[in-house]
This record gives sequence, C-alpha cells and structure tokens, in this order.
Amino acid sequence: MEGYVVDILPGAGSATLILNGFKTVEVKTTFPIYIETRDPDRVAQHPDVVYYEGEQWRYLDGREVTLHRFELRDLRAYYHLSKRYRVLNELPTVLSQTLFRLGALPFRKVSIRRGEVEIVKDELDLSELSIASVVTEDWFGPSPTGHKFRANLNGREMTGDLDDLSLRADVAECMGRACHKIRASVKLNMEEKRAPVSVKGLIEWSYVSRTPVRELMRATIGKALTTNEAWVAFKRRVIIPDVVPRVEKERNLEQLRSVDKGGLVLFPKLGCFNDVVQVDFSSLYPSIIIKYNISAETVDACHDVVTEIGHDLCYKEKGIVPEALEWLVNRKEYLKSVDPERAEAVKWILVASFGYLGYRNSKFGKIEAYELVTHFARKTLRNALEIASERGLEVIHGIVDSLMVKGRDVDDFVREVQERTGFKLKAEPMSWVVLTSRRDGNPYPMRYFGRTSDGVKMKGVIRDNMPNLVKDFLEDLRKLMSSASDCEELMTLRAEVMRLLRGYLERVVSGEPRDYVVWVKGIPYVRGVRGFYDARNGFLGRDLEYYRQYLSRTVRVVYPWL
Amino acid sequence: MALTTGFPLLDSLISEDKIVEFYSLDRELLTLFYHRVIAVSSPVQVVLVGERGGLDPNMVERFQRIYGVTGEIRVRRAFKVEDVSQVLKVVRGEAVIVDPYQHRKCYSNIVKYLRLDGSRKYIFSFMDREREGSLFGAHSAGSILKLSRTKGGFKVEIIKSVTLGRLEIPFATWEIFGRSESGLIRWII
Repeated sequence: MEGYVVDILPGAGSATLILNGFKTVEVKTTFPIYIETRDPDRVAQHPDVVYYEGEQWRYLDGREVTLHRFELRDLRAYYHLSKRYRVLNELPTVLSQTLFRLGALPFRKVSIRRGEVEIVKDELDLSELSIASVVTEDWFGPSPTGHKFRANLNGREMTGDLDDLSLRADVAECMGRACHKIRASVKLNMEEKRAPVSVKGLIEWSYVSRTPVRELMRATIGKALTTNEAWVAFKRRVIIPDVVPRVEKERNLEQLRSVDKGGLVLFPKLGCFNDVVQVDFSSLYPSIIIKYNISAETVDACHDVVTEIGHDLCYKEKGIVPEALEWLVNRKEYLKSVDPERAEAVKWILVASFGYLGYRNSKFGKIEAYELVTHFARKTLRNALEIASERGLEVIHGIVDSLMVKGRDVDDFVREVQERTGFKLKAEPMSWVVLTSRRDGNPYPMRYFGRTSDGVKMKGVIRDNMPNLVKDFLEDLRKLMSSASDCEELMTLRAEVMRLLRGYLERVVSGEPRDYVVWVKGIPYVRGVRGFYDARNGFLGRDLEYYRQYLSRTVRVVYPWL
Repeated sequence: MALTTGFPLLDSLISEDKIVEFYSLDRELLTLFYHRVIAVSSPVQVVLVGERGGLDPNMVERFQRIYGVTGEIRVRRAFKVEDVSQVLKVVRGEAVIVDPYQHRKCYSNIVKYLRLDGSRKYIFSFMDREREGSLFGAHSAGSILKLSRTKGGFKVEIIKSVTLGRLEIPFATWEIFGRSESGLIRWII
C-alpha cells in the first residue's frame, strides 16, 4: 500500500497509519519514553512496559547521564508513568518519535509491505492530497452557528446552505456544525486552533516539525518551533527537559540599559517621496542566529567572539537553534516559488524563533541569546546606514531590518551592504511612498504606503479591528492610488478621493448590516447609538455619526492632502 | 551600604530583622517605593522576578541624584518560577527581591533560598499578604509592612513585627522624593 501519511492512531502493540484517500494500515510497534531513574526495574514492573534499555545522553551543559528508554505496548501507560517518574525527551512527542522510528513521518509518501514502512517520496506534494477549509457564516461573517457555508476544496471555492454540504477530504479545517457535515481523516476545528496559519500552513508545520497535524491543531507556534529544535537535540542525544531553569548574569544598570532593547527604528521623514527603494534584509533575525551561532548553549560557553555587550559566543559546536533554523530558512526560500502560503507558514516559525529565544519557557533559548540577536540587528542596520551615508543616499525611513533610501546607484549600495554585513538583501523600488504622522504630529514609524510594481503596499493602515465599511473604503482607496505614478499625481487625485469618500459616507446611511461590523478579539461588534453591542445577538441599528467620523478620520490619515 | 528605606523611622523599626517584606496592591506606589529603596541602599544587589521588567533605571538614577548616592546596582532577573529559586541560590549577601511570589507557586523553594545565607533581604510583593503568598514566607519574615495610599500620600502599616504591635505611619507622597523630615511622628514611638 502506498500513500501520504496523514495521521496516526495509537493502539495496543500497534499503530494505525492513516494514509491519503482514507486508506488505513496497521503496523506493529511499541512506544518509546525516556525516564531518568535509578531503579529501572521498578518502572519495568508496569504491565505495559515491554522492555527497557540504558542509553548515554547529555544535558545542554555537557553533563553526561544514563537515561532509560522504556518501550511501551500501550500509550496509555505513558500518561500513567509520567505522573510518577521524571520523564524526559517529551518533545518531539512520543507519537512523533514512534513515527520517526517506523519511517512513516507525517506527509511523506510511504510504501507499506508486510508491516515494513519505507519512505518513497520525502517531499510534500499537496496535489496528491485533498485539503478543505469550511467556514460557516452568519450575517456578520464567520460564525459557528451560521447556516451558510463557504468552502475551499483544493482551491475550488463553494458556497451554499449548510444542509447541502457534503464534502470529503484528507485534512479539513472546519467550524461549528460544518464539522459534522464533512468527512475527513483529520478534522481541525477552527475554534480550537491557536496557530496563525491556514490548514495548508498547519500541514507544512506538521511536515517540518515531523509531528502529526492533530497534535499541532491546538498548539501555538512555539510547539512547532520547539519541536523542530528538539529534533536537532534528539539526534545529538542531548536531553530535552520539560523545564530549563536559567540564571541570568549579574549586570549593573548601565549594562542592562545598553542591552535590554529591541531593533533599531528611525523616525521617518514625513511627506510623500518619489523614486524610493525599500531595502529589506531577508530573514534578518534568523540569519543573525545562524551566522553568529546564537543558541542558549553557545552563549558564554567560550570566547570565540567577544561582543561589546558582555556576552560572548562559542563556535566550537554548532548551536541547536542555528542548526534548526538553517534548514527552515532554506525551505522558506524554496517554497516561495512553489507555494507562497506554505512559505508564509514557515516564515511564521522563523519570525517566532527570535522572540522565543528570550521567552521564559523556551527550552533552547535564554535572555542573553535574545539580547545578542537584537544587538547584532542594530549593528547591522547601523552599518547599512553608514554605507548609505558614505554613498550620499538619503535615508527616509528605517525599521529594524528595512531601510527606505532615495538616490542613485541603489543596486551598488545593496551589493556593498551584502558584502560588508554578510546578509542577503532585497530591493523593492517604489515610485512613491507616503510617510504619515500621528494625530499629535509626531512621525509614526509603523505606518506607510507606497506604490510598488505589484500595486500600492500599505503597512499599518488597514487593521483587523476596523469596521468592514472602512476596510472596503481603504481597499478602494488603494486601487485609486495605484493609478498615480508619482507624488504630484497622487495629490491631483483629490477630487476622486472626495468622490469615493462621498460614496462611502452615503453607504454609511444605506449600507448592509455587515458593513458596520467591527471584529475585536474574535467577537463581532456593531456601534449602536448606545455604544457597542455584540452582533451575534442580531442587528439592532447603528450610530451613523460614529461611522462617518471614522471614515473622515481615516481619510485624513491616508490622504492628508484632502 | 546596608539595606535602608531612607526613612529613618521605618529603618529603626525594621533594623533588627533579617527578612522584611513590603507589600501592596497599589502597584504604582510599591514600584515607586522600591525604586527609592534600591537607590538609597546602593551599592546593592537586586533580583527582579517577572517577565516584563519592573526596574526603571532612569527612576533609580533620579533617586540616586536626589539622595546623593552613587553606588552600583547589580541586577539579576528571574523570568519563570523555576528560575526564581535558582537565582536566589546564587545571590549572596544583602539584596532587594522584587515580587518573588509573583507566580504564586513553589513557595517552599523560594523561601528556602531567601533564608539560605542568613543575610538581610528586603522583599517587595504585589499582593495582599494577609490573604495570599507563602505562609512559610510570612513566618520567615521578621517584619511585614503594608503600603497603601491615603488622601495626601501613603501609609505604612506594620502587619507583623517581632517588637511592635500594629502601627500605622503616614507619609506624604513627596516624602518619597526626600522633601521632608519625619516630623512629629518621631515623638509617638
């Protein structure tokens, strides 16, 4: 039998592999767990322990220790034993370790003959899988109690009444009653999902972290990320403890102030600028981690690189975090041309990888490692600023890993920055860019919009918690602005912008109930005359003045020449 | 320099105690208070428990300027509950500990290491000490003082003391910034 491994169901002395196309096959296996104990025979008295073996492992600090690997007949014994003994190496999960040993990793194509599993295709090819996403809708938008559905099956869009829904898929994400109407090997309930990615993104996470997608369903991004790092540690026989207590180095106030910082953010020059190039470092933070070998166990382990902030780096052994990230950075680059949605899912892991270094529950990070990353990021951006200044380029804005520059020979600038910093850059020309201020007149670094070859790019303008009406207005404004080829033309669009605004002000009076909905933390609200109310209780009117003012306020921010 | 609050009256009440705990539900008041204590006690070791900081270097330096102190402040942070006891284990000598019971668990270990070297410790807790926190910690503390805001300033209530009964000492807000003397209260005690 051949197929993609979609899921695994543990049984007694065996595991059922669920392959695409609803194929199932049972393979004999035991489930490994690692326990630190002086009396392994006592643990082995549990009726589900088949046998045990002693293995040499080491802690992150290099101390060697003997761990016992107990092979369990039934996974339920794991939950029993984990309450009584100190179980280590719980990440990757026991099921992932079982799949790894069987050679049946998630979303790899395998061939199973006489109980022997063999991977026949290690690359994920989604065209051979059926993937669905089904959302139930009410008048205000997605809702678990809605009677209409909107589905996407392998890119094919479907809508209709929920009663007419009939769908089969290998993996499906669904909501509310729709989950009862579809047939899928793995159903991912959207209400329980904590990951910021789509079903395809979750499959990609499952693929890269070699963990069944069902186990990632309720997990945060940290689990995908940590599992990925845990695999590196696991292969090196480094113990993955449940909790890693850390003792921070003692520092004085001056030292603390100099390192306890984020990335470098410049105050932008305000106004509209023609012929600007946005220069971005590609995956800067992960690249810094890889280049400088930043990981909990490499910081201050020796003094191969001495930094100004008091933390040194060791290059004797490649760190666990850099090794885990290197593969992900390459995979993201590869996926960009294959499937941008999956590339985005990998990007999420990369983005979180930096923050997780300093997170208190991180297994492979520590605060000193986090501080080193931000230190190198600031240094890198300052280097780029110096090079820009040497070349006579005007820097109009800079945020952490990106600069907006104006002037000649930007390509040469990019090349020089790449050579001198060792990090990859990408340049995106903008025919114009607008940098706006806050209401108090101070520059607002996180909000800008400009025209690129793909249309108008807006950052920090359209927010999730805006009324639908305002979002639609901004989308139309974006289309309108994309017709301007420079700042001068943009300013001449005044009449059209006014016309568009007037249309939307009229729509405030005559709009559909859905137009007034504002989503805040997953709850739909409408602003009524007595304040905000929950839209799930029905449409009870709207406050016209609030929506009018919202539109007028927004247009003043995005189009200050009105 | 030895640990001091900078209020001579308060210092005289707690001078004999090894572990002194200040608590308040008024985060702003307690924060201001421990910044002052850290500044006037410098050079001093500080342990900060919490994920989101809690020490404003500028405020500490402002207090140091006010009181003409220049001692070094050495800081260690503990982010998760398991870090707290490990950090306390390596801290030797007098220290200011900010919110050691923040996670509301592993009290025994934390108190064990607070008592370990027998040197003086000032603890600042954002909690109602009469209702929560470590009982063992409450036994270990020589004095427990509650800070709360009053109309014109704040008051320090002695909740537990080896030598004194319950007592309230009022202060004006600007006294924190060194703008006053102890006043008539010195004649009461």
